[in-house]
Amino acid sequence: MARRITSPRWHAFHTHKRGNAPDEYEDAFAGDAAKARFAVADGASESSFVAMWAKLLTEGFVAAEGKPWRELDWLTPVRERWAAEVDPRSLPWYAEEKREEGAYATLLGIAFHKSKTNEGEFLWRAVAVGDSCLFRVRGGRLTKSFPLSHASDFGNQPPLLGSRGRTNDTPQTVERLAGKARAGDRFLLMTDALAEWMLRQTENQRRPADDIQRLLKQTKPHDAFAAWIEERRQRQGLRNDDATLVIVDL
Amino acid sequence: MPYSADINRTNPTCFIFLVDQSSSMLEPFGGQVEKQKAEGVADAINRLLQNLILKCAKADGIRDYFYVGVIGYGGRVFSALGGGLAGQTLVPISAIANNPLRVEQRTRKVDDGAGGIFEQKFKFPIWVESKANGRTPMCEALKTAKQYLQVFLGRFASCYPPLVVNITDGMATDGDPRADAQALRELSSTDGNALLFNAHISVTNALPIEFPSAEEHLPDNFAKLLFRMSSKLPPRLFESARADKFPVQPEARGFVFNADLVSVIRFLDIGTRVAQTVR
Repeated sequence: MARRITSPRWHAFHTHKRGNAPDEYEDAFAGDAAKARFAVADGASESSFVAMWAKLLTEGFVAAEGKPWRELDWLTPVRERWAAEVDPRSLPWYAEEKREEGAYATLLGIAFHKSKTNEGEFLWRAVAVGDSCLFRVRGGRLTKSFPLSHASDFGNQPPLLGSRGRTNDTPQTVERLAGKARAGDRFLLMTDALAEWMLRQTENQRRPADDIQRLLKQTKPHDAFAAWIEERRQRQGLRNDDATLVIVDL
Repeated sequence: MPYSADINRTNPTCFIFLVDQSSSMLEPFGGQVEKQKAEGVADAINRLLQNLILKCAKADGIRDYFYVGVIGYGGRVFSALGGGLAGQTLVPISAIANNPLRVEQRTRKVDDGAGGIFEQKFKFPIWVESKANGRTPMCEALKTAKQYLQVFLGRFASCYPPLVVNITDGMATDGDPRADAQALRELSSTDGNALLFNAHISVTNALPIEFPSAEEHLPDNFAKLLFRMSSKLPPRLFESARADKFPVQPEARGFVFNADLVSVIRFLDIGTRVAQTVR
């Protein structure tokens, strides 16, 4: 088994789409510093029971330590849990139809461990389905982005993981990437609206990582996040959508 | 950019369906002896309503992204909503969802993912019954739709532009409908002009045509007339159509021949879409 790294510090922030109620937030995040595994997911707003699916996906990824990286076998029990939660419910005809279709969400997960050969070096592996993105920030600069790298790459029909486990519910387009990292590196996990903003700001020669650093320096950054997002919606074209940010510092 | 307003509960948009229920609808549909055009039309409108509802359905209920009116025309022009909604004009989509006349159990063939096919039961709610009676006052129906839209636009002036979907065999009996169609398309919100799309249900057994950009290959003069009355697909709908593998060309219009317009509902952007067809 890969060697664990000393628990990295991590923070998670989230807010709902303007116009929706707070409990209509359908992104999710999960993290376990001891396992050094983190994930975000974005539930497709057109499906039902989707917040639950996104949550189960992120938790399922984080719990899947030691499972083969090339397979997504850990999805099977996650799908069973979703079905066990929703299938017994009595619903009106339309909600029954949507339940039958299943819930859909993106997933981005990352796991860190220590290099066996080079003390002081970290290795990471990430998996992505859809347009939730991972960024590595080094010295305040964006030095890696995955799986999308241009603001123009975002559309409204990303690949998605489905809860029913039917033929197309695990898309062909599962992206994987591995890399190295060192102490002081910062990793950002974001759902699509925020990730698109991150890339567009970078393309416009801005320094969005500094912007995020300033958020963290506020006295109560978690309380400030919703207003921080709203300001960027108003002034910087951040798309109105649920927004989720996980920050992992090595 | 027009046609880019958010569709949400505080800024909903509006769908008006015009359903031809005149006596010509007793003729067979698309060359099928056993099925009348009237049944094809009833199926089409019921599927449109169902898909519109499913677009807004969440686990805890329906989000009112849309207001809906259903206008029948056959002998006279009337609200085709029945049951608990009888006589109403524009209602929120949740009212439609909760007031079908009945819910039928139907079956469909589904790919089992392993090379086989199985029959799956599904619920098919009925709001509009198959009906065929009297002449075809399409011009008057378009005028009525215009009145509905004026009320809606008075209340939601910055909405995504309303959509009017006319399902017909194309034979108006109260004049040339083009002027009324144009008057309808000239209504606008701050986000653009109202859209008029036409679904032409025909007795001929010709292949379905979807979102053509020119009229020369359309099979008859009724189809050509309806094509001319139809709005061009706005850019984002056009892009969605292309992403959904419709072979659309520039200037494509919201017109289909012997096909349905359920796809248009899929094209509307209310958030992250699930790629596969709902039905």
